[in-house]
Amino acid sequence: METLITDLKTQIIDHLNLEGVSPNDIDADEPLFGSELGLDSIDALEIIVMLERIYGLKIKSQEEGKKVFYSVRTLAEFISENKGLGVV
Amino acid sequence: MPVIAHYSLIKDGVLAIDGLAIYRHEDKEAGAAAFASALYKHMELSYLKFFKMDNLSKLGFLAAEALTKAVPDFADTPKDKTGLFLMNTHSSLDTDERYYETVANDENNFPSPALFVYTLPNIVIGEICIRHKITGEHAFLLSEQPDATLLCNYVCNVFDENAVDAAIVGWVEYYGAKRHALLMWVNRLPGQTGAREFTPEAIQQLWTIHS
Repeated sequence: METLITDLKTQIIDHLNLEGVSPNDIDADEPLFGSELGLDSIDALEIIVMLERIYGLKIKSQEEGKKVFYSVRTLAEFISENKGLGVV
Repeated sequence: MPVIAHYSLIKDGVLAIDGLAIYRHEDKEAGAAAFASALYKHMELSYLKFFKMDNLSKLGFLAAEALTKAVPDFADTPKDKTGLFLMNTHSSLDTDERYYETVANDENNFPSPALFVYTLPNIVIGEICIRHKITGEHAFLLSEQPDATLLCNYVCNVFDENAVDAAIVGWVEYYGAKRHALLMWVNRLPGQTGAREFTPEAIQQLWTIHS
């Protein structure tokens, strides 16, 4: 799980062009949105695309998205639980 | 008659205000992204959204940032009476092509939302407006060639209608090897040292000098 969390942090930084942010700056348990990272709705869409592109996973509903995108850890848990299932 | 009170220029790794170079990127072989980042740091900016912008918006944003810092009356001009009028020939084609690459391949079709939102040239106007809270008249004009007469007439009409007290006016182009921004601060304040009348000839002269 910790390796996946580290990978996710790096991927988020890379995909969202978070200049000057390192993986250590992102607390895996802190909310992804509304935090110092300054992520917005377009970033949320980018993470959705990233999930599909890298992990082949889709979010089924807005409600599920809220839970999955809460933090890096919830994102990692979602990937871990659904890995290998393809589109969920 | 409005006047050109000040202008900023970004071209060939140089940032100049009123014709005077204030930053020169040492690494001439560096790419546009490296130059933009270096200039951002040189200007000691703190605006994380900058790094999410496309190349056209970064260019316009930095030129506007330099210009507004150099303009004494910018802060005192009501933001709802501050206009923003830009022009270029290639629209947002640089980003349009990058976006197309993300959708062109049927087997690897992952459209990027972050790219898509920049597939209009007037997004650079939005970025500058958000940064400086400008809410006045604005337009992004496209023409096959730099058209000083069209730009001048358009902006003068807006001034004639008293829709603006001052405006950022100019050219922001980013496509292929064409990468430059020339932004002018146009107002109607009398007695400004170095100001020149805002005419097609004056605009053309600035474009010619710096092209």
